[in-house]
Amino acid sequence: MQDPNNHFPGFEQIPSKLEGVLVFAPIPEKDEAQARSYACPQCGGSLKFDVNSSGMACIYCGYLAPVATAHVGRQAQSFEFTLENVQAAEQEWETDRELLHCNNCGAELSYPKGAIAASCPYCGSNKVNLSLPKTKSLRPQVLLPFSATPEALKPRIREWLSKGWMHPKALKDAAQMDKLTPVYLPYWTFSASIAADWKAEVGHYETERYYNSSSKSYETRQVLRWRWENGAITHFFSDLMVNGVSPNRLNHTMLNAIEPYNLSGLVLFSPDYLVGMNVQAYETPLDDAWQSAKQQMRVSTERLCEQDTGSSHVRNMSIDMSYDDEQWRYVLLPLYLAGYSFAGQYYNIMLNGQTGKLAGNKPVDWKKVRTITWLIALIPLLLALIGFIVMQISGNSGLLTFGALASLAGIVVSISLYSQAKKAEKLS
Amino acid sequence: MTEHTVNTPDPFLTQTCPACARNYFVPAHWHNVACPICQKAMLVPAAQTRKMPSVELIVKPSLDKATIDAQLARFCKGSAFPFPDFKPENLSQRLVLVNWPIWLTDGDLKGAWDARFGYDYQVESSREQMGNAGWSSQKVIKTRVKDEPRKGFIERHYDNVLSPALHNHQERLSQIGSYQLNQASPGKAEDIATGLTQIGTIAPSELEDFVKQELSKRAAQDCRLASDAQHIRNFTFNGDYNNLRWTQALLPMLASYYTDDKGNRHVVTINGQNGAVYGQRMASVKKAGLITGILLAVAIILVLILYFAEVDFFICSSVLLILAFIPLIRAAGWNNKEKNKRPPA
Repeated sequence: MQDPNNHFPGFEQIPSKLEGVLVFAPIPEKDEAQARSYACPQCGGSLKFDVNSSGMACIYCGYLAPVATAHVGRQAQSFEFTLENVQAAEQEWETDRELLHCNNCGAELSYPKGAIAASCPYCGSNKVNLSLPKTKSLRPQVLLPFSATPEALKPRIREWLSKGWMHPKALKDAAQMDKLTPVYLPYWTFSASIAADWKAEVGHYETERYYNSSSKSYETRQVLRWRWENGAITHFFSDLMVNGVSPNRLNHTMLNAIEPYNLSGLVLFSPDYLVGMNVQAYETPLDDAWQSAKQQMRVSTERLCEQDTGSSHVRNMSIDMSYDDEQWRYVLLPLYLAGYSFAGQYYNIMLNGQTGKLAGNKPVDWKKVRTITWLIALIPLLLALIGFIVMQISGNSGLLTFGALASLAGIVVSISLYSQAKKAEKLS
Repeated sequence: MTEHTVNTPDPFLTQTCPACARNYFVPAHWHNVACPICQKAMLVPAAQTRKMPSVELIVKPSLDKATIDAQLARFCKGSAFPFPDFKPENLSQRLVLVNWPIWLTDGDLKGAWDARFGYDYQVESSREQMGNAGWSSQKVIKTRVKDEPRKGFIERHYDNVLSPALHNHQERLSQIGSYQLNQASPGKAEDIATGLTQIGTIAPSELEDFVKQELSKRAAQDCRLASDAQHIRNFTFNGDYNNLRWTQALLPMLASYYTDDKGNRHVVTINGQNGAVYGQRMASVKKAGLITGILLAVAIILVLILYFAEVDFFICSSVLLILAFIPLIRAAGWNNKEKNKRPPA
């Protein structure tokens, strides 16, 4: 047998099942799941990811180093629902809190379940890859880097605070802003092609000739006729997103409001991006997220099947659908969390770290809202009252009619404004 | 490799057929032997005496007389206007055993290989139905194949790579079917002394490339097994084929014949292992002509009777006259179909 050493670069020998045959397979990529600490090579201070420069920066000496990564966009590697992945996704989430020894100061640290990056509370050194699952596919493979910088977003927040008549006028100047905290959010993306056979009663309008006994002549009319029809559709769902954070941790309504994210900006995951940030791994397990994505697909498939009938009158539809080429990805998406205090209350803000789209809670000046809504409702009533008096004196009912109609409209507008204000208090 | 070679019986004559140029080893005590495969000439001593190649394996005829007779009876049954000589008992009486050769090659492979193998894996998918009760989901497990590169070295010995020794090897197999070589046993002299042994027409030198390809195919399968893969996508071998050793295996074929009206012999061959019979089953045109003549005579008499009875006989007589020619037409058609079959290889 020949000497196998150095014959196949990039390959390593693996056990052979047959005597007389040596087998070499590609060397698997290095598993970088061990926790890493980041220290500045110049001064030994703590390094952190700097959103402004998109690189690793030392806050003490100004050292700056780029992050080694590659742009992959929507071509980023995705995974199938192999039995191995599905099993791992079920088991990996049973891991408990992580214990870690800080190499910098020697402290024994305990991190919450699923924390990916955090700082040592004793020496401040930043750590990444804390509790990553053993299964590589269940670790983040790609992420969307921050494109919007805090400096650019702060004026936007002030502008947002100043918008809207129903909010306190002093909000823009009196709000005590917290700093923007960059956070990477775990998301699942799903793609699949579906083939669906549908069967339904479809209604079509047909022109019918009939004898009209009253006019004693033949006339035509449109009649809706139902008949059973069937058809088939195929569709590819690409990158349906399901966020992996528990609704107890983050407000999902607010989170949905700052979407969408453009996944064409995805880059290969590098732990460097997470240095200095508090990053949490997914909390919604793969299977739950997949069920949620499938629910989205079902709704879309129903709509597509209905469109395929070519009629807007469809009833008793049944669908037989099969999935193929199901793929998933675990990605980290950028988000800024912020908050502000106003009149002794604390309000939350979320900003899309890629587009800067903003959503948050804003206080409502209920005194102002109530005054305006009452005015809108009362002025027409007053008009109606005057109209009533005018009618009693002159017999002219014009003003009364106008006042009555305006009162009705005023009440509707008032209720609408009130409910808008209620909504705005929860999410703007 | 354990080699069992036949000690060539002494003497074995090398004889040739002047009509078809096939060569045979004929037991010395056999005289006036007709070529069993073409039946067009008697075998004559070959110009050049051949040495029997080393015979490693022999597949012995495994059919008893009753089975052969049953097969021949089935072959003769349903033939149109058979010749008087085309009878199972005649065919059975004239059976001659012909052992025919294939090459067996042993060799060593040593070198590097490079492949893409396919690995089966399972994925969880689903099938869903929507009806009046909403959606219901059913889990489906699908098997998919993942391609992966593998490389390595191989050093293995392979026995008995089969390659043809006759140019019409494939044609013969397509006529009488293939043989199960796992029923072959080491060659013994008495096994070939009971029949003729056909001499191969392809020399090992002509088969070297073919055998190397076959060895590569076996190596590909072994490398796949060694890599625990299920499918081969690409396989290349870069190395040496050493110690190629050529021996032969002999396969049994039984040959017989029947004669037609002109005295021509038509050969029928039987696979000595599975009993498949092959040959042209020609129809006797003479017999068909005779029947046509009789029918024609009857038809003419009938037409005359009808004529004198002053019956409107035109359609009736036409039909009778046409029917009389059916045997002759059927015999011609049958022979045409049979002639499309190639004679036994």
